[in-house]
Amino acid sequence: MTALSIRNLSKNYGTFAALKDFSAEIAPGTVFGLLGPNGAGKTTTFKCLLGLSRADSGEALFDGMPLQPQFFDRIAYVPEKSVLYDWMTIGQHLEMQKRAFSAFSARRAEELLALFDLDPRKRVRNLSKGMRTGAALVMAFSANPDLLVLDEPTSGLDPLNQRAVLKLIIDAAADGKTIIFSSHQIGQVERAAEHIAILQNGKLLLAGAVEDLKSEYKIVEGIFSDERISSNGLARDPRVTRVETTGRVLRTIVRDDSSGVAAELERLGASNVRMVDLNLEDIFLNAVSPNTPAGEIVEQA
Amino acid sequence: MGSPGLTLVPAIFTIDPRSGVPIYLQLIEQVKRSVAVGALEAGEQLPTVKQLALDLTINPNTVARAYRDLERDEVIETAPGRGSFVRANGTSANARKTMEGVTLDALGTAIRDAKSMGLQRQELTQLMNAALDRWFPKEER
Amino acid sequence: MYYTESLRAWRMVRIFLIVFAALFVLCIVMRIVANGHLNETGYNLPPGHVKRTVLANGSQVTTVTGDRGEHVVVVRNPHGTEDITITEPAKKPVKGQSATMHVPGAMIQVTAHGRSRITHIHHNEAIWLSWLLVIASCVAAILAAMLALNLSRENDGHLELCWTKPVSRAGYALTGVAVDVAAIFVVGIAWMVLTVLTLAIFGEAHLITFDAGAWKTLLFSVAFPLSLYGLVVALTASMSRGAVFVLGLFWPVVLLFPLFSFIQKYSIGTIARVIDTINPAAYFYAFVGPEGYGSKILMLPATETMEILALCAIAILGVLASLAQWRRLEA
Repeated sequence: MTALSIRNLSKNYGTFAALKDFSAEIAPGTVFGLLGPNGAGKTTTFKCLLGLSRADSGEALFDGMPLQPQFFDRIAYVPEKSVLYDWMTIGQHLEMQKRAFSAFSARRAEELLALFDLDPRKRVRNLSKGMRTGAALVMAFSANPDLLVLDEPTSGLDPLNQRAVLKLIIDAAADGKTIIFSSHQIGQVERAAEHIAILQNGKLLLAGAVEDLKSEYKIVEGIFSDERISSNGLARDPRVTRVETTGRVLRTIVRDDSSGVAAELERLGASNVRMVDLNLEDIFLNAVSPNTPAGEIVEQA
Repeated sequence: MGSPGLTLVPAIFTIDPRSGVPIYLQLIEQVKRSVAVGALEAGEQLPTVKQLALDLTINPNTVARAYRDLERDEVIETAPGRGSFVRANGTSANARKTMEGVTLDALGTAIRDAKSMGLQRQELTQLMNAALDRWFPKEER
Repeated sequence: MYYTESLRAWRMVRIFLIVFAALFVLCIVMRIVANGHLNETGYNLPPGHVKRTVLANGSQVTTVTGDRGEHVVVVRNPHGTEDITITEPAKKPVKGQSATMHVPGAMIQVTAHGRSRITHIHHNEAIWLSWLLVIASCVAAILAAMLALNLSRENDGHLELCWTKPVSRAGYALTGVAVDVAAIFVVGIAWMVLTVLTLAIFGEAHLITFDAGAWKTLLFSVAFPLSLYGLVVALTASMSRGAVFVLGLFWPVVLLFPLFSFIQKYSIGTIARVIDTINPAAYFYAFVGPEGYGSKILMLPATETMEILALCAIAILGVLASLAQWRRLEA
């Protein structure tokens, strides 16, 4: 069981701020999904977390302790880009893992090789991108770690293997492992992750439990009789994260108390007020949409 | 571990993770519906949290949360070490209650939508009666 | 935790051993072919009058007098040593000159005086162990410089793998260094074994002589490749792909740099001598070169002990410098 707390991590590359004051608490036995567009700071977060890059400030604590080399016996990291040795075979990589990690299981490695349809005698040089990802995942999961850090673990894999990776994550989570993973594919995060954080330009935009976010976020929209809708009051409403108007339709994205906002719309004279559930993709797009920061009015009329 | 390979999803549960409805709520609704229609019988064992999570490819804690809520609602009971079962005692009453609950939820959603489109109570009552006539043609209102 | 390192070192060592095996076979074939011709005529004596006598002590003396006044005396002693004296007429008269050179198994002395040049070869057939050690050391040095790129190879896209193992960064790097050092020894020893084996095949192993300087040469031969390893690893530890180019430049620079010590102008010589303090090749020249040569290219007192100590210092400081860089790197 490994609890991970990330506290105010910041990292600059020269003048470029890759990560700004990122914090997250990851409870043992949970799956934490890191979402964000390319260059959002996901990989930087992982590197700082694991001490591969030095954070400019902040810290990451593993069960309350700063990272020490021996912790890696219980941690597996699968980076986004392949870091395997071209000249070595998959089997040799697994032998390397066996010698490095005390909980490595050769039987598990064999199962996983079969799952990804990988031949251990093949040299990494001759593997496709997807096969390299598969090999890296075999190495990580057969080491039986308590904490898995997976950077885009499904990239380059076909849908069948993507699903297999999700099942591996779920299986590990059911066994009480802690998993932190990033993905472009919201659908995967939506299925596998219990908690998510959305990053953009190195900044945390949104964090929370997936199921709670889905319950909390609603679209509340109403039709007004007049095109000149006064939405200023709503834009300042803390419950409302976004207001858009299209003709006579006013659409709000609400976090918490959607019925309260619906009542408010009715009070303002809207008819046909309705509430629609938001899925994670909508919530994500709402959070990262570049030209419409949350809470700002967008007049599209 | 259970085989991470592809296994068929049990026909009684289908989850739409892309929906805006939280997955655990979808699951609760489906279990209740299955109990109500008799697809799940009293005393029948439910898949383990891990197995269902793997079958549906959803987070195990989400399944666990649904099971906890179902237990609280007295739809299922969990025997430590043995698994979760559909509750045996008072099953018919429970099933009735569950059915009512599921129906009420569906009706509530329909009515909310209708209201948002501007239908009045009287019009809705008329529509409801028309619908009832269609499905219960010989019965007395 | 030394599995990958061993695999990688072995890949390199294997290439060396294959080359050694090829050289070994080539050497044996050449000796067999050469032996067929190696009789007295094999010495390529000038045409002329040949006279053979046997002295009282059993020495065979062959005297050849050439047409243009050349005079060759070959004395083959019963103990297996051989003295060859060649007297040639010089084209121009010269002032008295003399040079002595030691090569494995022979001492060559060339004297020029007046209108004649005398070359005296004392072929004692002894093979000094020191010479064999120095050659093995050079072979091991080539491998050492190649193995020293290993940290930079990790830096070329594998740091995430290296640094997420349950071992400290320094521990990881030092494991690699230890494996590399072992590989250097393996190759050096393999070379020595094959050399001795070649000599043994032709019944000459008994000629190997444990000369007076052999112990010091042994230390020097160990320190020399290690110092090159230390220097290269220090230069390339924080590089990635560029390290190969550094190694390409490394050899000519290191080997030729001591030449600058002889330039008197603009204190270039002094600067070169200062820089050569960390140049293993300078110590190599000083150690192997003729007497007094070391003091011309080195700042430190050019004694053999000092040269060995300096090489050890370069090896250790080089590895420490590479560790310092390695710990500061970011993936």
